[in-house]
Amino acid sequence: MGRYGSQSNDRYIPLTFPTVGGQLQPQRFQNSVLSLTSAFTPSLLNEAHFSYSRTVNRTAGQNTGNPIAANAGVPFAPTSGPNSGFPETISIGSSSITGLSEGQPWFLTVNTFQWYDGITWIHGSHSIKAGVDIRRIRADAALATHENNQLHFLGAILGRRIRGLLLGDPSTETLVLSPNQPGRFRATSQAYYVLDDWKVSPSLTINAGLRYEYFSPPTELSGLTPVFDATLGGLRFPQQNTTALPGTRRIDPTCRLGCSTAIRSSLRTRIISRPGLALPGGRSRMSRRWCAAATVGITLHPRSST
Amino acid sequence: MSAFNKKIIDPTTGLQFAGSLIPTSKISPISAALAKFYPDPNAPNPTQNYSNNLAAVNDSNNYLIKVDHNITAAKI
Repeated sequence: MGRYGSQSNDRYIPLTFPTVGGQLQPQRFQNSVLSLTSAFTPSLLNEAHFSYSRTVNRTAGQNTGNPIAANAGVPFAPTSGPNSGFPETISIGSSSITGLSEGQPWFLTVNTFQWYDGITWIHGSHSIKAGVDIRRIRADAALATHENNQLHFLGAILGRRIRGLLLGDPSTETLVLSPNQPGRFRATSQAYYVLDDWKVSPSLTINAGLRYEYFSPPTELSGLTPVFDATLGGLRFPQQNTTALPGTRRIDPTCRLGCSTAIRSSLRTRIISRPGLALPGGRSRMSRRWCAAATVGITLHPRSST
Repeated sequence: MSAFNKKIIDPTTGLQFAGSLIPTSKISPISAALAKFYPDPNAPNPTQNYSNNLAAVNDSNNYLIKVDHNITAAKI
């Protein structure tokens, strides 16, 4: 079986003035699946599938890509490329004159790959299922905050605010000296499970399952994101923090209750068990219109040794 | 600016502009370029001389393609 789905959504949200401030929000969602179900024998069934999904979120000002700020002479504004555009903010404090602003572009693209294989084996009174589910997530994000400057004219006297605007004398200015770097995050999750539905008798079914999950911490390829390090009591950059240990640990090892827990990384491992039973109701076949079922789920989160 | 009845000082000299008018030569080219994005007034009220009601756009498209195929009798 093959399936492909696509959804697009294009939005334009205007601001006060027609030539500046509007927001463009194009979004694209795509998903494709290839699956193969194979009956090797009447009692052995295999189901495999591979899926790929892509999510593209964009937000940009209506003048994004047009280097208005750079052409006007705004310092350090990009002269070309997708982050060029109108200044982020031109504000005139406590005035009836409306300021000019335009949201700066950002994008988020997420590619998710999934491989799944599950097998079902019917053996006597047992129906055994087992499978593996592996997902790889690739997320790229960029934010052009302040690249085209924020200019504020906040003089205490109205005349000074407008004078500042006309003379090019802002009271505060926010800018970035070099373009923001895009973040490229990668993560992999794995899950393995086995499940047995054991029909002990016509009136009793016991099911027991075990599932193991592992979520790798998202890593940024260029080491741009910091990691909290309890030994430092602060942040370290991943490129420097080569000795960081996974999992969590208490900041105060002697604390027994209500202790602060420092997240050293986002590594997560989980083991889930699922025992249960089912009892069809009624004594005669015709009266079996109800079924009592009970399930107990136990989830274990192994902690790191530190 | 002269309508505000304030002294407009040239920050480069510390002296008042003549008639509290900023000469065109003193106006920042950056401000002049960006001020062009202000539209012309469309209302007579001097304190609220512009109004507009721009339309938002929200377009959405959905597509789905699905193919089922039995490769062999053993494949479902």
